[in-house]
Amino acid sequence: MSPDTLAFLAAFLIWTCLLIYTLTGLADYGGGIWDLLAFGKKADRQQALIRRVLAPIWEVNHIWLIAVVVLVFTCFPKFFAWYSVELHTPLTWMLVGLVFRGACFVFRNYEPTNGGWNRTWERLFGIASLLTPASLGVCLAAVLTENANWQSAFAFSVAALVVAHGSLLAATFLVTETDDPDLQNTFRIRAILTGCITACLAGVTLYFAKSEAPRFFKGLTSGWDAILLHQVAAATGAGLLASLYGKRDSFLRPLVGIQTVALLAGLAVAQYPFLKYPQFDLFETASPPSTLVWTLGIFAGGSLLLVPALVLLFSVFRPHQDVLLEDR
Amino acid sequence: MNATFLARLAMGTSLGFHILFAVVGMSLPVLIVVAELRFQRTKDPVYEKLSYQWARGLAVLFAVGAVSGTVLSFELGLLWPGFMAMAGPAIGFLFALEGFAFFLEAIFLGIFLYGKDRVSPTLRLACGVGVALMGNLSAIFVTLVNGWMNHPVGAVFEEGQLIAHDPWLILTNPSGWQKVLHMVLAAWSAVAAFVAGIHAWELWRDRESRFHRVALEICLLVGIIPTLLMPVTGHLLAENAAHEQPAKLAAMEAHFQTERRASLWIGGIPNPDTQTVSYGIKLPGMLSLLATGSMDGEVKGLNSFPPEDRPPVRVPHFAFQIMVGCGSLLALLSILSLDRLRRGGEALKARWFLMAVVAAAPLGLIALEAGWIVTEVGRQPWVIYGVLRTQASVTPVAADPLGVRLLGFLTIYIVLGFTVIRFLRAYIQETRRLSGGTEE
Repeated sequence: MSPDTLAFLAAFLIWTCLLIYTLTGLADYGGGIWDLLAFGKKADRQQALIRRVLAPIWEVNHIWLIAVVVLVFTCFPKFFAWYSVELHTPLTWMLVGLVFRGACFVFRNYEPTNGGWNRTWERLFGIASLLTPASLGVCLAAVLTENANWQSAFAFSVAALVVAHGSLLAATFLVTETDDPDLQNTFRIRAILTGCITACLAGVTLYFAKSEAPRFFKGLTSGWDAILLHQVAAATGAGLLASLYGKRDSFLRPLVGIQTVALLAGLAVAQYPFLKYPQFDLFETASPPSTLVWTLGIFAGGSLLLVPALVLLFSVFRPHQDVLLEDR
Repeated sequence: MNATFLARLAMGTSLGFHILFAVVGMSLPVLIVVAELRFQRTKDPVYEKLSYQWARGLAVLFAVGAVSGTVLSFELGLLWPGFMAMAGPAIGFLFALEGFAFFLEAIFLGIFLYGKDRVSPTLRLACGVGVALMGNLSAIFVTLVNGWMNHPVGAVFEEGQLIAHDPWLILTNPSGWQKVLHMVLAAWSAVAAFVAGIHAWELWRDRESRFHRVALEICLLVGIIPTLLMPVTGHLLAENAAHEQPAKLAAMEAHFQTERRASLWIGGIPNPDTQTVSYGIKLPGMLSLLATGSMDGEVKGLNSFPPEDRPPVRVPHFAFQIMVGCGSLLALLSILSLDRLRRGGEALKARWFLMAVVAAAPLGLIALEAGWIVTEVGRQPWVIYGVLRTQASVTPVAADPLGVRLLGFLTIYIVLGFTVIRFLRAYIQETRRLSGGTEE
């Protein structure tokens, strides 16, 4: 296998882990936001549903993010060193959000008796759910911009877009996870609203990209691949709103899933072949072939072990069953 | 306080915090599996109960360990970008291995903890074994990273760049595996001692409790052999240091002059300015004997290295003395425990013995932290030994923001620590209500 192929595979693996993280971890954060925004008579039931569906058994959805970190410092170490310095501040905020969320999970689920702590942890949980996706967003924006500015209008709109998309994912999943028609409607409305907001934010982001990230803007709007992905994202978005409105729930997950794939693929296509323009061309920045072979090999072998283990785990805990996290 | 020192302090506290939970993940599953095996063999409900209570503790400690581990994975880049840029291609794959081991551990733990009514007892036990195996594996991979930092085998450096490396040599680094052995034994010993201390305390309060008696028994059984083996593995490590990191050996032994028939210091306060050691017990020729196998062997002194290559002396020396002291006391306790176990019956419940176990409870963990201080402070000024200096690998972020960061994370660790203690105390209270002082 040529060094270039290896480098491409490594970058593709990173992209895949980022995708899985978006569909799992980011959705978790979206759930946290709905938790924060739960109001009205049905607030308790909303929160109970969120806790049941999106509070994972062992809180390791962020491992996909760790996989991204490990892959980047192994396969593209100079790029890793660059962004660790340049984006030190937003990365620290992202870490704070991750830690708060992990800690809140511990406190919520392992509190031996119902202590009075829960109120504080709820608030912290909500803050964490905004902090991490927003930080991720500005870091992403900086990587897409030539001057690596994480505090531009473009960066903030990307941050808002990431938060919105996570919330959309969460709301959509929640609609499909409950049989209670009242709760379904609550989240249906929220999903539709968030879908519209996300669409607007996408437009705003594109607008700012034109002046602040021109190369990225050009990559997004020219070339058949980028334009096709754009159309897929738009079509699935519209389809999602229509399905939500028309209560065709079986379409929801595939649509939002495909849309997420299209969005992230569009990002990759627009950036290609750079991890960061202009210093880090993915082929020139990659680690030597021995590193890439071992790393890709470990991921391939590890996945072979992991997939049956995950299948076992999910077969043991089928959805729609109440999982007792702690015998009380 | 300069940026390098603050970064070292930040990394050190993160590691020091995380390691407590990591070793629990290595050792407690072993205790649980023993309890489960005994239950399957004897069908005695006390073992089932014990396994359940230990598993509850493991769950919360595992979750906190995952949080602190996340911090470390970020801090590698946030604090040491220079190190990661150079070392990433060489040791990154070890972190990939660790990640998979951790993920599998989490999955097995989930099935073990919550799958009681949903999977067969055999499969559940297999998952328990899986947790133990993966927990130890992930620690092994991380320790191998450190092994390479201290002895960068299989790598060619030129003009401050890593130009070639061999992953297989890095994976099979003998210095790394010696450290691995010592670390795994240390984890089992330290955690068994601590858990034994908790149960010994409870047994003291309620001497009729069968629950706590069998718990204590299992802890002692698991902990004794590792504790007694550690002086051997420790000695091997010191011999390794004599060859590969003589400056580190000199620092931890407070050995200033290169000489034959070098003396071993027990205790003592090193004075780097005057190059003397005060108040210690001096054993002539013993350092040469231990380090080289012969009393006439030459042991390099600290002042044979240029000043900029010398590690600090006081911290490694104190830490080393603490580690050996605690380890020796635990070894003594292990021998006493063997005697108690051999006598059987009520021998374990002897008041003096229970007191000793309670008093010894923190010693293993203290030795663990002290040992890591020896090897990491003794490694200075290098982050890749002989190749890259710590100062050259640190982030260019200024000292003040680093200081603020450090304070913030210390606060988080303190809060997490207190919460963990609160939870564990509550769990222990619950076992008191359950056992109620009767045959349970």
